[in-house]
Amino acid sequence: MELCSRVSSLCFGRSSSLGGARVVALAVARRAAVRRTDVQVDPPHDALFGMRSRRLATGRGTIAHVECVSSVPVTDADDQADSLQQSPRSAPSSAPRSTAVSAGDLTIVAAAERWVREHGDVLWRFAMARARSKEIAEEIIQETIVAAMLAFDRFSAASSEQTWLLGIASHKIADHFRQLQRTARRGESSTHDGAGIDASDMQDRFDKRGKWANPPQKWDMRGDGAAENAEMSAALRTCVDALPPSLAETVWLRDIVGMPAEDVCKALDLTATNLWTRMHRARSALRACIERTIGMRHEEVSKLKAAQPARSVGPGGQGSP
Amino acid sequence: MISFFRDVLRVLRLPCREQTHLLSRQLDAPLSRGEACGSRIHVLYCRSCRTFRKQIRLLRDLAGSAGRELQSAGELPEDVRRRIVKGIQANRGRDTTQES
Repeated sequence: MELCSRVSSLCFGRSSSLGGARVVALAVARRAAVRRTDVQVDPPHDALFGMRSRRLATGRGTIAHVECVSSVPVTDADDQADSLQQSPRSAPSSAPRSTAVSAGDLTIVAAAERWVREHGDVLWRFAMARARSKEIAEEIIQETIVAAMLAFDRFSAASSEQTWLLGIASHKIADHFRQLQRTARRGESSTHDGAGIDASDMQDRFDKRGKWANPPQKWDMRGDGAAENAEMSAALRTCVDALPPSLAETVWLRDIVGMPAEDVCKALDLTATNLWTRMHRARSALRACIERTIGMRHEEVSKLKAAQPARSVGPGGQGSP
Repeated sequence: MISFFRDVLRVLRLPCREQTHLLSRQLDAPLSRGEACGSRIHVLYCRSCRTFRKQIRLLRDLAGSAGRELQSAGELPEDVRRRIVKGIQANRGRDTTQES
């Protein structure tokens, strides 16, 4: 409503006698992407304002860019709008018949281009790290920016733009992985190789009274610390990738990107309690997954060690009795 | 002071399942002094919860270092940037055409 009255005063306050003026408004709706509304303005202007007011009041859209063109034919007005879209910030303010007004000092498109310019690197690293494919990462960023354009009116200054965009990207990535999981489930049913999250990792390890039924085992950190860490990081990566998407996105934002808990809540639209619960489930599953991975590795090492003396007995297996 | 002891006693009565919730929560938000104290006492005598705490902290640290490596993973390539911007404009053009 405020924006509407601002628009009306900007367009008509200055030249209230705009008989037959055209208002070319680029409006961004929540669901319908960028809209252009060509409105023939004839007195009484109230009819127009009423329409715009209703539209804004339903929360459907926000006027992103408004151009008031005095007494120009339809085609000219369209051209004006197009040129406005090409370079929204460079609209000629001193043009004799056209005055560009940008709401919030930026159009949605200009904002989107700025997001790519300013946050593109962060989004790229985030998407690449998760998707591990240039094509998918590009697609995810594209979808993120488009989704952000659609949801622009819901962006609250309480969170930073980067947090907001990372939250959207995170959802897009989660959608991507959900789709992959669905495809994998359809394709093959039981080819689990032991890596990643197992169903048992997500199960509760406590008895009915809440005591440990399956207590955590100490991780045997033998050998070189750096090598152990690298190995464990690789295992962690595999396990995170295999988490349910909703848990994986939370772990990514909170523990890997290192976003403060409040920002994660804003980005993923969670309450603090939801976040704690998700993180607890994710950490428990990851811990169990890594424990199993390490256990499997130690078993392999033990088997190898057990097999070695037999091989070292001599060629042809002629060992002493 | 009363609430402190109330929190300590409440947390001490919790079983290991709830203790692990608190240990995980501690990584995301500060506990009250009483809760933190109760949790610390529990961990002193419960070896399994102690191991759990150590392991989730290690996981958090490993995840953090993976994130720091991520920072040096490179920038958005210029060709990709151009394509994305072009995609935004194309998307806008398509929608405005549909709309009109």
